[in-house]
Amino acid sequence: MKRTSINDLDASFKWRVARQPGGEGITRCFSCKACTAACPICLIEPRYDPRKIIRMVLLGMEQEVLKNDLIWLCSTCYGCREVCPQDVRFTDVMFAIKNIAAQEGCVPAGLMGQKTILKKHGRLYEVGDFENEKREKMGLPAIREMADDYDKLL
Amino acid sequence: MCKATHVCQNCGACLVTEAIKGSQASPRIAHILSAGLARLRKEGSIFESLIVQEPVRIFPDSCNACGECVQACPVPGAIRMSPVGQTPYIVHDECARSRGDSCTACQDACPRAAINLSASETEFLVRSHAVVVATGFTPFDASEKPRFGYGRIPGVLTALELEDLLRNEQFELTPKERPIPRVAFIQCVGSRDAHIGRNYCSQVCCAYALRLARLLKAKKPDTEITVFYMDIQTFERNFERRLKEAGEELHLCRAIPSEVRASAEGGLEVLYHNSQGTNVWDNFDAVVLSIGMSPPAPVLGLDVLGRDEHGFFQPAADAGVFVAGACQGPKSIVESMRQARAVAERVIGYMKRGERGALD
Amino acid sequence: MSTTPQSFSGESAHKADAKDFSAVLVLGGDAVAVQLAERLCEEGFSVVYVGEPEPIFTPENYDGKIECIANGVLKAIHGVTGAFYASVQTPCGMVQKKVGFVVVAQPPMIVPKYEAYGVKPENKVVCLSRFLEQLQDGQIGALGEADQLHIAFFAGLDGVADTATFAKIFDCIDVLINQKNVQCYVFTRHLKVAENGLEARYRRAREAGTLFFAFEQDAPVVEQTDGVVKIVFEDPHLSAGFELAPDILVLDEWLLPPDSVEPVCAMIPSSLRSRPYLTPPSPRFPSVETAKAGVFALGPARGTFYAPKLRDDIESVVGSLKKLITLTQHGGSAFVAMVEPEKCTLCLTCVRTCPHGAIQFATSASVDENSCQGCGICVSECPMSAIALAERKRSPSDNSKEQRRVESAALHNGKLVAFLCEHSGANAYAELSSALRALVKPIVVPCAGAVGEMHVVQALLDGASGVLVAGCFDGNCASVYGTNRAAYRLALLQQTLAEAGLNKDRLIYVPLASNAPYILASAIEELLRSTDSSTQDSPAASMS
Repeated sequence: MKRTSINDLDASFKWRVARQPGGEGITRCFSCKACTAACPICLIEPRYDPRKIIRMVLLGMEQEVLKNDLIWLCSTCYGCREVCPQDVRFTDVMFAIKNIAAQEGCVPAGLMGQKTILKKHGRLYEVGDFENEKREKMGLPAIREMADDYDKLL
Repeated sequence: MCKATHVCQNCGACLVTEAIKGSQASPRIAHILSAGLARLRKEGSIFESLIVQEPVRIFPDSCNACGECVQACPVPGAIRMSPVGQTPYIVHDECARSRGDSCTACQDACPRAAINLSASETEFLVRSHAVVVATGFTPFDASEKPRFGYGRIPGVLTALELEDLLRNEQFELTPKERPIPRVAFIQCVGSRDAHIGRNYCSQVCCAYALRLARLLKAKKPDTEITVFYMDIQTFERNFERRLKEAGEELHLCRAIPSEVRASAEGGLEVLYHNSQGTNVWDNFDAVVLSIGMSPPAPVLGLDVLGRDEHGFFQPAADAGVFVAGACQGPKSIVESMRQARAVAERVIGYMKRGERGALD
Repeated sequence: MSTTPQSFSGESAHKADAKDFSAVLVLGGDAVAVQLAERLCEEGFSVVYVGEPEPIFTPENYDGKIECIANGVLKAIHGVTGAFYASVQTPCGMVQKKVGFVVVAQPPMIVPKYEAYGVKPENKVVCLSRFLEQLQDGQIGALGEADQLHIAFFAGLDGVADTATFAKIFDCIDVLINQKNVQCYVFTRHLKVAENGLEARYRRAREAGTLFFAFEQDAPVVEQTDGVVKIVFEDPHLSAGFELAPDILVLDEWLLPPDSVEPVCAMIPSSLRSRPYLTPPSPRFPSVETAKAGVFALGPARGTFYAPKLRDDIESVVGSLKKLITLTQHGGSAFVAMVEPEKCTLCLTCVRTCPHGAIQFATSASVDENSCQGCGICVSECPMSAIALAERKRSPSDNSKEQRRVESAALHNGKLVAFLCEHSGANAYAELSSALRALVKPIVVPCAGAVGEMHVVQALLDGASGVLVAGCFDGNCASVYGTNRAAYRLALLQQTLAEAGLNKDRLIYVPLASNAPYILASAIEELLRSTDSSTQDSPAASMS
């Protein structure tokens, strides 16, 4: 069986996650699997397992975590937080991990694409005349793309 | 209740019965039952306790358990015989008198005048050199874990309720479309849980769950029992062997479920992450919650006791007030007995050291 | 941990042997035992302390009341409470001591699990106690100056773990977390946190960055090559292979009963059910008292290793000693066994059978009245019927409400006769409905093991339709194996009854507990059914 050497991993990675706002709870985990059981993503995609992600961070598997597409599947439903008996607050830990991943440039292409569209159009898709005509027919008001305050936010 | 089938299971429950009898037989111990502390004062080295006893309506010494009162009572269930035919007891909430009625049917029917419905509270003033608080624990209220459905979904019960049902031979599983009844035990309900302020191990739940599961299996051998746990605590000297035997009879699953729901067919479903690495909704006919020990209710009238970080009583430093048993921290029956001997000696030591004022 | 039956040293009941209830033999060797010795001194006892005293222990400060035999090892001991004779091996020869009480207060034998884990005790591998000592002595510098130190702990990977072990590991981690460069790993099967405060310590360890691995099936394997230690394992959650080369591998230890348990067990016949410890694993022995009066087991001698409980044990020993002295002065058990010397053939059955080690022998067997618990087992075991239970004289101030008699069953008029053990059967009987109770003639006995063949046969001869004997469950007998004796004896008797042409179902043995009256109720009903056809005129028949 392939053996990963823990000595070669980065024991400080968990502290990096813990220092991120929201990541403080990660070391409290005692692997009870309640979060995994509560996760609606894990129900349909068994490879996405909150407890495994925590475990990889704690062991220091930095690259495996940051380069993993699965970490972007979190739906932020907060189910895990509700059931966790040790206040790990995994949803917030996921934000911390994703922030670090973004800092390292490890965001999946699809998400990067969404970000670009969001920045350009203020929405996840282009809004053009075609969409507004359909809206008018249904009696809905027209919508613009970039809202003013959104522009300021960005 | 006794959990043995052929061999003692070391729970210690029978010893409580015997200790009570031994205590009642001792001429040097006065008992004031169904009573509570109203006020505690200390003057010098003497404690003055005001004890208020609930009205004693049925006198055990006069009662011969003939059952006439139960026959005469117009409200079914308001007065009941205990299951093995001892002195009856009145269930206050069912009794018509609690609703303002002036019914005296049971009292009138009793051939030995053993019932006095107009008995009133009695007050006792007790003076002592020391006070021992051993008020026990509060069973964890399982509705604090709403995702397990206690109080909401039929078929979800606590281990305490399961014990009662087993003792009264009333535990029935009604499997839907399934010949083999299935029971789940969920461990650590109300224990090891920082989220609800109960981050301690209640120390008895692994033991009692495995013993109850084994008893259940002995009574209904075709039952399939799954125990969901985090870790299993060592609860006696032959532990390794007991654990192995448990593993052969029961399905031990190292995962805490996230939810219990009612199934379409009228049974229950439990959501957990299984050993094959997938989340599954598994079917059960009953879900038993292994509830832990919550801290004791405050002892009214007693202000000198401190509480630790979890809320259990802390003994006051040499104030003459001592704490013993589960109100000091979760512990088993045997552990309580072990600790009691040490506390008794400490009480004696305290009384010897101090100035003993006159009690009168 | 020998499994061969020990020869029982009950010999030499010294004639005219004055009892001395002021001297206590403390078999010690650590701070807890020293504290116990000092505490006993405070209470007015004189102490013979055997074992290496802590450096702070100065026996001279106790007015000669503590005699310390350093480097002493208990080789043999016999006697009864008030008169124990101990042989202690010292570098200068064998020393004989007479004492009134014995307390086994030694620390546990600590055996590192090198063999259990297949690990060689080479460099980088250390056992837990030693490691903790080094940390507490401030030898942190010895750990090394590397950028990242990996320290691995093994705890209970062989399936045997104790809260005391985890407390020690948390003690180590408490010291280590102050080092910036230390990463700790704990490899175990189950986290043992069932003591007040341990869960909070476990959480603090995790928050400090310690990694815990809890294995279900395959435990980690240790590879040792060229001075490098590697732990190879499959992570229980990731199901992937890992290896860790720790700078230090700390192995946990077996906590075994100390070496003086064995010679003390030799004077307690019921120790065959308690070995390798001094008390049986039964809730009837929750504290320091053993089955033999005057012999006490503190902590490790009875399988308790967790430090705060040992402090409680010190108080419990003091209290139990004083209680025993009161009992010797004011009676004791309700009954005491007495031997008729002219009938005794010195077969030594009673000596070897008495679970409490209360019987010695010289020219005949002789029961020590301070040690006898009045269980009556010797009475029914004696092949010469040379022993009887007599009511101990009680002091006038005792007006206990319970009446206890062992009487011969007579004139039962076809009723059932129930011999009820006072520890279980009698209590269960008291909880039955008056209707059920009326069907049975109760005879309370001190132990089910006291019920002999002749008791049962006499009851049948005197007209009983059936006989029920109720005792405690196997493992819950106050006299350790009285219930087992009863079960065995009565099973043989059932066979004999059958061979004599009687219905063997007229006799049943019912193990039960005080809080299980329903078991007694079922047994009575069962006995009524099976005696129905053979006692046509019995009033019991019309009731079923």
